[in-house]
Amino acid sequence: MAKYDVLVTIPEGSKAIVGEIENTQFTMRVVAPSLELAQAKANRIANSVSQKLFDTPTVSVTVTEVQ
Amino acid sequence: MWALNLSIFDGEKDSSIVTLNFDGTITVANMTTIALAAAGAVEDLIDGAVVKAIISQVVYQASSIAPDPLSDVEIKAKFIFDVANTVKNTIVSIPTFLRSKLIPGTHQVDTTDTDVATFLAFMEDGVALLGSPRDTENRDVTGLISAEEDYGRKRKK
Repeated sequence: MAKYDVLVTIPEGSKAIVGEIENTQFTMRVVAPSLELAQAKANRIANSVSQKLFDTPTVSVTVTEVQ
Repeated sequence: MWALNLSIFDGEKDSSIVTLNFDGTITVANMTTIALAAAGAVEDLIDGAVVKAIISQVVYQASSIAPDPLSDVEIKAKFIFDVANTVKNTIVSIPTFLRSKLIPGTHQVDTTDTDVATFLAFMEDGVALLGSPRDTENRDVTGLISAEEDYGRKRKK
């Protein structure tokens, strides 16, 4: 299993019940046996984040293997 | 929106939480006062004890997300984590846990599963530069001790 950093980017102005999201970018770690699976996991995280926000904005992810 | 969670303990040291919601514009200082008043309003209704009050701000509520119709909050996995600077552990219980994340033929959670491993990484590393999970005394979660399935008393299946 390898570690990957996932940079999650939320569109500016996106809102949730708490109000406008201030941190439009954040990084979290994914652990996966391959880059392909890490990307798939990252995509699921992006979808999860999007669903929590008003109007389900497009959330993007960038995956980088941790050296 | 604020969620005020009152922890009520019984004589066997089991606890249950009462959640009351409040407008999100109320300040933390005022919510603290409200929490004190709420305990005063509840305690004469019970023979347990209101031991703790936690205020939390509701940050998202995605009511349109539909859970699997067969999911059950009583089917859980219990994760026990090591904590920095103490012999105490901290426990996180995940309800509606997928049985496909267990090692076949065992009650053990498959920590080599990508989704499980990512959750474990989140428990240790959190979100870069922002914060990571702690125990109830603000000590850092440092590693997994064990993870296995754990059923609640009212399991439906």
